Amino acid sequence: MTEPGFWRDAGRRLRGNRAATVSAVVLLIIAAAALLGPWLSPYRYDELDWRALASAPTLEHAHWLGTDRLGRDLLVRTLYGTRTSLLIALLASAVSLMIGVTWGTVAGYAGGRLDGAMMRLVDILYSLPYIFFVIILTVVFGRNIVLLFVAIGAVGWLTMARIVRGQTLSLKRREFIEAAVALGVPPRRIITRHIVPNIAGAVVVYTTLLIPQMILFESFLSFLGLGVQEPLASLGSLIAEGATEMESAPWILIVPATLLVLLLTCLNFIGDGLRDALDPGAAA
Amino acid sequence: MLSYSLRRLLGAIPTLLVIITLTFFVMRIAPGGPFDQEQTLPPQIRANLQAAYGLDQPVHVQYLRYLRGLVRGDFGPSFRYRDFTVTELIAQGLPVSLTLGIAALALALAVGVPLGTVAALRHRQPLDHALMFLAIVGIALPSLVVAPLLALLFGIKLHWLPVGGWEPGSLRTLVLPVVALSLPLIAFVSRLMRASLLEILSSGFIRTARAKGMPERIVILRHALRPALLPVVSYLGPATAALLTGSLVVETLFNIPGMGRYLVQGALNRDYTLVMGMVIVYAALTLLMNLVVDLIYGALDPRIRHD
Amino acid sequence: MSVLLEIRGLHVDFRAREGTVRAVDGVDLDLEAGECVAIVGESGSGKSQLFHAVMGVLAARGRVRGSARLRGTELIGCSRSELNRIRGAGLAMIFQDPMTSLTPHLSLERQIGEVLVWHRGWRKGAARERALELLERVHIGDAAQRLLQYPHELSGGMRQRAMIAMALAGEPTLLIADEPTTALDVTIQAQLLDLFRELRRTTQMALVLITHDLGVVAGLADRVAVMYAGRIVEQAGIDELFARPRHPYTEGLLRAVPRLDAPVDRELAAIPGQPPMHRGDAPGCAFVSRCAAALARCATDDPTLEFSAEGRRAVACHNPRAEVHPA
Repeated sequence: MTEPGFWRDAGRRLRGNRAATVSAVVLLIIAAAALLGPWLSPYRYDELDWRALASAPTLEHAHWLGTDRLGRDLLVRTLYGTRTSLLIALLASAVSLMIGVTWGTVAGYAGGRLDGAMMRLVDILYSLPYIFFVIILTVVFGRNIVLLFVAIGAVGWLTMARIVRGQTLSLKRREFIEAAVALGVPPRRIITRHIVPNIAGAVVVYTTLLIPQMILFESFLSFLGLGVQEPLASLGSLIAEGATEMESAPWILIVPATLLVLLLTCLNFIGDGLRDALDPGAAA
Repeated sequence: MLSYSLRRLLGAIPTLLVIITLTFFVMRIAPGGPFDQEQTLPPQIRANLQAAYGLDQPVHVQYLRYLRGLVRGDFGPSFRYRDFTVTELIAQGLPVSLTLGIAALALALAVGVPLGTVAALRHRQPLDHALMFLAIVGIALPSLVVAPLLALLFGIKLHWLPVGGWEPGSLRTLVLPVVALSLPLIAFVSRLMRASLLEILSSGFIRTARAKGMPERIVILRHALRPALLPVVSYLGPATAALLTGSLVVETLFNIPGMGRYLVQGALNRDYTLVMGMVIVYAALTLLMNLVVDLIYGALDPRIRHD
Repeated sequence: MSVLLEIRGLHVDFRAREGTVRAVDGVDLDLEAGECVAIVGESGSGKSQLFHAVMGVLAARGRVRGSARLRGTELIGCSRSELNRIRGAGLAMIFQDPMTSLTPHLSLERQIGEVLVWHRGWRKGAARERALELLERVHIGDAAQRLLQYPHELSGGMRQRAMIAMALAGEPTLLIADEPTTALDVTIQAQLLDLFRELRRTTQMALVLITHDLGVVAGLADRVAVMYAGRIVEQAGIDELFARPRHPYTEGLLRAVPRLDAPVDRELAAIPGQPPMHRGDAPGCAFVSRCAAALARCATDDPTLEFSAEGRRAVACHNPRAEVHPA
């Protein structure tokens, strides 16, 4: 069992990590802006303002970050895009988490041939970069955004499964598991009651790596045109738009790009901090 | 070494087969077909089209036909680019993508290894700190941010380089895409090289080489470099995966007629055969690269010889 | 006899996060041409660091002060190129663990030949011939085949012999052997010591043998210097040291060696306590907390190394065993 002070010590270490706490604050600000901003702005994300087509950032008309080619306010669109990206990433991570933990615990606990077969499939799926499978799935599922994040989540579980399986294997040999088996506890209970809580640390650590990865995937897909479709926006699609307009209106590119980098950097620092906090023995 | 390679190649076939099968059946599950994009077709014509492409057959029959085609090197017709077979499109796109990828990999090694080495030799001095900071930034910035920004800066604002298109003879059109593709790799390779070299430099055999009175440059070049390169060689595998992924963005952004762009177009148009063909080629390239990496590793480290 | 190596006031410090750790705390030592001196001490006594400093292969965090002259040429602080002329030629060193001390990706031929090509300007062919001779000299069988092999293809004992061959390539006047037998099993140890004895018989080479194992010292060394906490606490000719140790630490070391003729149920005599980690500039003798013969002044006054009348014996102690002069 994990020692009682484990999470408390981890919390303390995390708070001591300056990069992580600053990043957490910035992240909260961004998330708050993304959720509330679009409501507070006088403009909707898909509202066309004929008075200001592709205008640079200006205080006139309250288009603080400028507008795009169709006159849509960039600030609102970027915040909206951030919200979309974040939501998709969180939901996709949740899907990956669930599939990965289930796959890993079952494979690790079952052992033997089932384990071998399950992990062999993981190995094969590993032989291609994620993005290709995701692209295949987008062809299958079309432009439905719900199915999109299911698709992304359905591919990102591989590493999680490996990590969870490894942890399960080592946990399986511990005495308290043997005791539970001897008492006749059914495997499903053992997995949910005993194994999962003890792998929580590793799972949290990997999830912190997973979320920025998912944001990146989704941005990638949307950039290529395979992700969110007009008039919806995500950071990736905004960057794609910006790329086509960059000759005449570079801010359309720079604003969402900056936000994406900021988001990813904060998440990476927080992830590093969580990793250090939960597992201080492992050197960076 | 030859028999090892053959064994590896043969072993890769089942993996490839699984990928082909999975991809095939997943794509067949998809609601709608490749002809849904068109303006609404009269049902009769659609039925004819389906029959012509063999889409009216039961799935397992289609699968076997596909496999048989593969063995002959026939990836089927493109549903979208009606005048071309997928094989032809692959033949067009592959050389372009390969050029791009190999150039990016070569650049990553040619710049990353020396940078990492210098950083290690100037450990803890300002140059080291500066280089490693740049490397962290390089790793953190995704290609879909870096590529457009590079294009913006060097192509549009400074007018130094052309932004897009592809002229086979021209080196200038290569520069931006190759650099955009290789930047994250350069960053990673230099960090890896630095860490690896630092570790090697504190080993016993380096101490012995110095104790023999070997000048420092021989100690570094002859004794330290080869073992320090080993982790970098191992990284070539994941680097290839990163290259393949990155090439999708770079080829799309810079309008380069490589496999990546075809893949993306194929996905946008739900062109099954095209997407499948590209995926299979990418998978084969990855597996091949893994074998190459293992062989290179064996060449560098006499303790690991593959026979 | 001429003095080959003259060490004066050598200090070695390491920068660590908690402060500075002093590994070698002021060592004076003379070595004459052709003699074999054993440097004996436990881990942390500074015996290895002393000679790493002389050889110029201290770890990056180490700082050296003092002087070490090889036939009058100052080694400490001299330029890298100057040092490289001497290392591998007049001065050679072999290290403790041959597996990690040999370059894994170079064949023996290249590693040994390198010294000749570099220091003597020989061509590859001549270097190869000589490397073959050297391997045979250290009694490696099938030398021609071994030349082309890599370190991982050799056994531990053979690797150490290969290291010795490599060190001999430059025909050194002084060979420093840093715990050459520690990583090897006892039978191989014995063979290597035989090799050292043979080399001493056949060449005029001086040998510094660094070890924590007194058993290795007998039969090989002319003189012994005992180190504790970075300083030499006793120096004597080997027979004298074994028969009549003066410093309490030396006594303890000798007593700790299990004897074959002692009763089986007698407890092993260990020296109580632990050697100090960071000495710094604390006053007094470093051994005071473990010493059975400690006086009050031992805690406050640094004992200095005092030489006996003939200059052949020295001890740094306020309360050494009485010196017994041969009748």
